[in-house]
Amino acid sequence: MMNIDNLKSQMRKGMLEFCVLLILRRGDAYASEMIARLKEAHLIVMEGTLYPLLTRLKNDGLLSYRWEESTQGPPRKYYTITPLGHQFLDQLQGSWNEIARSVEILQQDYHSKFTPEE
Amino acid sequence: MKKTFPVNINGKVYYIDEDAYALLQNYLSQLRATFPGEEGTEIVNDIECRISELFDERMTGGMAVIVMADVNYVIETMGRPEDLGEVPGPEAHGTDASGASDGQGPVPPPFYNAVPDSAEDARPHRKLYRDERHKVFGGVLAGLGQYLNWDVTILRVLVVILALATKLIPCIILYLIAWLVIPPARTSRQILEMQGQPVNLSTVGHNVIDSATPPPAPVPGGNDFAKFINTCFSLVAKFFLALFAFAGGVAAFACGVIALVVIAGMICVALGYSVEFISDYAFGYRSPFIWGWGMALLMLAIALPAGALLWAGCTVLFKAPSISRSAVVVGLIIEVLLIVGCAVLINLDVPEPFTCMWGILPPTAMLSPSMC
Repeated sequence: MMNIDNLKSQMRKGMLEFCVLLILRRGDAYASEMIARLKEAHLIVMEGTLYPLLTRLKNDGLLSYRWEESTQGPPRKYYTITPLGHQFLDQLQGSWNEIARSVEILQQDYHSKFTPEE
Repeated sequence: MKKTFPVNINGKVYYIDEDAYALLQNYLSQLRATFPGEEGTEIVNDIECRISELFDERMTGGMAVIVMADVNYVIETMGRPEDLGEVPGPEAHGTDASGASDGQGPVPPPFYNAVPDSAEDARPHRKLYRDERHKVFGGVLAGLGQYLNWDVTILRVLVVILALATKLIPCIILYLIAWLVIPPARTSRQILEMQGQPVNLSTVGHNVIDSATPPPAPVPGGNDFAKFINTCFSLVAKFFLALFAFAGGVAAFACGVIALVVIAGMICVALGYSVEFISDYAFGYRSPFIWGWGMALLMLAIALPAGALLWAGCTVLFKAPSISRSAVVVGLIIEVLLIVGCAVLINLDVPEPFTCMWGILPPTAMLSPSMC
């Protein structure tokens, strides 16, 4: 019996890395900015899940970071996409487009059959 | 009225209630257990940064104190350790990074696991821990009983019979290795894993984060006879432990004193001679002092494990602080160095013309007194 929650969390899990890279493509950011953005996009429920992911992406060479002083409080870790990360993101983007297209085609089947045509 | 004290989180000072502090401390230590290694340290440090930001967001009203509600809010926001723990292995991710972005390979365990997966939780999955709450010596058999789902009394009787049949020594060595290698079940999570119960929000509830101490041991089950046998085991175990500890203490003390006396004696003899004489022979490569040092090292080599035995006995009998694993490793390294050192020094050749001039006679000198 396939568990729906498990399936959903698997889909989201795969998405999360993609989305983190998408956020960083727009510009360098530190963790809290990414969390805010992910929350706006309704993608993250528990903030703690982001940190192991960032560290993993960093250790895999897809991201790098630098420390930057902030006007309020201690210095912040700003993450940047590395060239390898850009390459990886392009591949993810490509496969995402394929998936979206496939789903679109199948949904189109349904609509063309059951939606009354004017 | 509550006790409050300042803490430093990520370079900023916060005032925090005593109980809120304990809860936060416990949360962080569980996160550290969830994310081991160097990578884990980095993750937990980042999470600490975020926690301080979350506190800042809530502490807008000037001088305020962090209370339980704030820490609970932080935990709810960040997620519980058991929800964050399932990090896919680096090799699973490595295949992703190497090109196959659509993940054809084996699917890594769900990383983003907000809702516990009931299908997976239904499978009883036990982990081997030492059960220190039901221990006689180190809880190895109690843990093994939990792991195999056997009655621990029967297991103990079987092991004692096996030990007697194999003349004790192999079983004792195996037991000591198991004691060293198998980790103890300390947190609620580990105890649940040991018992093969699913670790999720419903079984752990708030306890996993709330309680700094693991839940109390359940009253041992079984009939009166089983209890009687287990009590007997405990008593016999304590008796032998006391005996070993006593013998270890005596041996450690005696050998330590002898080693000190030998060293002191050699220093006294050395001081009795003129400077050139010492520089020529006393600390030279072939000096008879070498043999004396060898004996001193031998005594220390005996004293160290004997002392360790005494300490180990005390930890079990009187709840003294136990020996950490790193201390055991350091002790083993020192022990090996001592043994190698004394073996080399005692077997070095001592030139015979000098041997009788010194107070300490190596065995080779005694064999050939005519040379003097």
